[in-house]
Amino acid sequence: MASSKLLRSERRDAYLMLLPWIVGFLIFTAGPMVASFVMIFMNWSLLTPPTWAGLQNLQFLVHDYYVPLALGNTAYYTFLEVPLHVAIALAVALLLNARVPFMGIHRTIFYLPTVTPIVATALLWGYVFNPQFGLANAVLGWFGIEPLRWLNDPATSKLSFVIMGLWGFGSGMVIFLAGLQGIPESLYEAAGLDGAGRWARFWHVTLPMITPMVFFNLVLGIIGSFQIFSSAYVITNGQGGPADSTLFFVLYLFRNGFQFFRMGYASALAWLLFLVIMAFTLLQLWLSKRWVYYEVDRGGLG
Amino acid sequence: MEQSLSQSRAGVTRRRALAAFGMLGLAAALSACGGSASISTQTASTAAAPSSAAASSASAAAATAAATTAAANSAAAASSAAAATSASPAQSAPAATGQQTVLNWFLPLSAAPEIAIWTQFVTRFQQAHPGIKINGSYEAWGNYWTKLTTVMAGGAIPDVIWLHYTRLAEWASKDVLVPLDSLLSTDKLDPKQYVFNDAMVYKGKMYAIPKDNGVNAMWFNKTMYQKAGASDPTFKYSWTDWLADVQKATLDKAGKMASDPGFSAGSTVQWGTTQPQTNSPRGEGFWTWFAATGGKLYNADMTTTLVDQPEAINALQFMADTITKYHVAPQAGAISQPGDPWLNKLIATTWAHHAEEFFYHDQKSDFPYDEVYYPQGPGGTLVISGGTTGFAIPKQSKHQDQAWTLTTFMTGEEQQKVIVGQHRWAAGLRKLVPTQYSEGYNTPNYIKCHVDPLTGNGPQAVAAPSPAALAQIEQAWGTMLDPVWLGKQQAKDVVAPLKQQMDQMLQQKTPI
Repeated sequence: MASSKLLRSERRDAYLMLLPWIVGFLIFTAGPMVASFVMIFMNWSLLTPPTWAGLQNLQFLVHDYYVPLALGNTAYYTFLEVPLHVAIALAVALLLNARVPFMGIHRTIFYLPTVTPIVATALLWGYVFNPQFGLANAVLGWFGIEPLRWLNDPATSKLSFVIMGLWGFGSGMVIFLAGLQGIPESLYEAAGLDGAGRWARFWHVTLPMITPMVFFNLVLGIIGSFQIFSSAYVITNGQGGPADSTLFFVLYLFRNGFQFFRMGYASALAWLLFLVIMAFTLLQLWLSKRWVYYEVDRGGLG
Repeated sequence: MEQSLSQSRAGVTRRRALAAFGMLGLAAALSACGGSASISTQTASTAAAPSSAAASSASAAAATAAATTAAANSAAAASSAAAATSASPAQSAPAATGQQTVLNWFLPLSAAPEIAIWTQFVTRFQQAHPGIKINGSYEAWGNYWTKLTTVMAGGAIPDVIWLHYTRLAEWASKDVLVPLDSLLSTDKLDPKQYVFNDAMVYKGKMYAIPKDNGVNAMWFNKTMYQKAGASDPTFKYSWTDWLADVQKATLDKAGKMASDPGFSAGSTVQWGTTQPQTNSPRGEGFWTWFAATGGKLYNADMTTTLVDQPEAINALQFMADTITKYHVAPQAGAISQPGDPWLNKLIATTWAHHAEEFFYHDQKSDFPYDEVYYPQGPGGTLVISGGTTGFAIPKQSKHQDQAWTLTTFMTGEEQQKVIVGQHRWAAGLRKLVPTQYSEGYNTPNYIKCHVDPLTGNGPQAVAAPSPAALAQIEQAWGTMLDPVWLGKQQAKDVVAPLKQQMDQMLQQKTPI
């Protein structure tokens, strides 16, 4: 009797403590998601009340010239940037896993770009990629390569955004660093006793042990990269040029919602993006069974 | 177990303290939700209910435990938060405070001197109308449209908004603006007393009152023309004359002119002209050049585009050729120096309205310059174009009469004289246009370029055509024509699909 009373009391307290998050989730996340889903079937100019549109927005979405174009631009950016991002984050984490003096300062410096505001980053890289005086062309010049027009050429504009995105590898690096520091030293000792060199130790010990972190970074990286917006909006002035080469999906969604006054159609685009990201996430989850090693599952060495 | 039970009766436990803090945070979160205007009353009342309930349960939780200072403070804090939530007023909606009406006025102003002038007008207005208080919202230019749309979607409807003439059809077509004709008639105000009043008309009704004007002209650097061996342009200048002169004024690092053999376009250090405003068909910046080279963009009632007609194709191709063939205009990103390249003496000719002269003086530039009409097109076509911005009243404003009073005040003669006096903005009232000219400050040709086209003397200025679907047209424009400006395609190859898209957009139904 006393224990069930205590249980009820604890349960009540737990729910009370969870209540702020639940209410916030309902108001700021779930509620807007439901409203956005309903908005797919409405015409809403933002300036007048919504009116019923039925399947009109979905029919337009199927035939919209810009949907595959924007998805293609975003996919190009994502599938080039994310693997490179993960690779660079891992490489730097391996370097920063060494025991050298002032390592804390080094780690801080490498993490700083991650906390730099996106708008400031975009403006900075706009200067880096300036065809006339930018650092990027200066570096190319060291190797005798002709200057590129970077953000002003459809052939190189997306690549410019990829390079810009790689600058913020700090968050992935921190995850990898934590993972690397959790690898038992005994595994390396055992590998060393078996005659494994540095590369073999990395390939057979380090990499398998950090596959959960690789997986985590890939999943979050793909989710985040598909939603690229702020840097493209700032650098291209919301145009997505030149020649729509940087018209990323969320930028197109923003234009529909706030510039073309088609919030219903923008909602349809938002849900399409949600489904695309969900599909890739589920695919990664399914594939992860083949290559992600969880120490716990195998009753690991712990 | 016994120990934990006795602890739970004894006083405030960590759990209870955490629960109280959780409710305090919830109350704070809900009170933050009560900030927006038209839903704010509903939000405030619904927020008050759970907050009150939270406060009650916090009090009950405290009452079951022995009364301690911490518990009493937590309950008091929760109650205060609930009281604050239920009392939170709508922050953005106009509210009657006793006898006084509060008007929300939304406009873009980011330069400190401009803000100072308009806040001075607000002070004058409030002195003249003690029953009205103005809540001015001065937004950065780049954010204005997004913020205005968001603010209106959120229910915080301003009473008076600023509108650019190219946006008038977009907004008027959505039936969100008050037609002003009856108000003008009641106050015996002649619409024709305002410049470009036709540009503020949509389907026969006027929706905004002009507060300024801008008529475009061609500005040229006299020193560059002299060094190029070209005579100063005249008012009979043709595009052929212009092209010949600016090719001489375009120089590479080795000092070769664009018309010389061996000219290196990649190492141009001085250009004959600024890049034509090709990224959008919005406004007089693009349209004057396009129309002056013989192009036509829309039919009379703007239900179809004429961009596939030979005149339009030739005009578009000429604009592209200035960049890609004649190399007299820079490619995007080719100029490294920030700021206006004409003022920075990198460009021999530029296309702008009267404010170019204001910036010249403001920047303390020192080169001799002058201005003339845009060059004449095929058959001697002369196009003088400009535009206006003004104030409009949203239909959902709860104080339309007072909003009208504010609108007429801000566009009235007294305020307009102050505006004109600082040279940055020109007059919205036609009778004040001649006062824009200031000897010693403006070029002698200023009158012919910026005054006469608005006062009935000589060729008159027309506003650039601006259909309701212009924002969507801009998207299609960039998609189809960017390859032309980059030299990757010819204009004639892209106008057919461009026309198809533009016609679909022009023929979309609008509420009115």
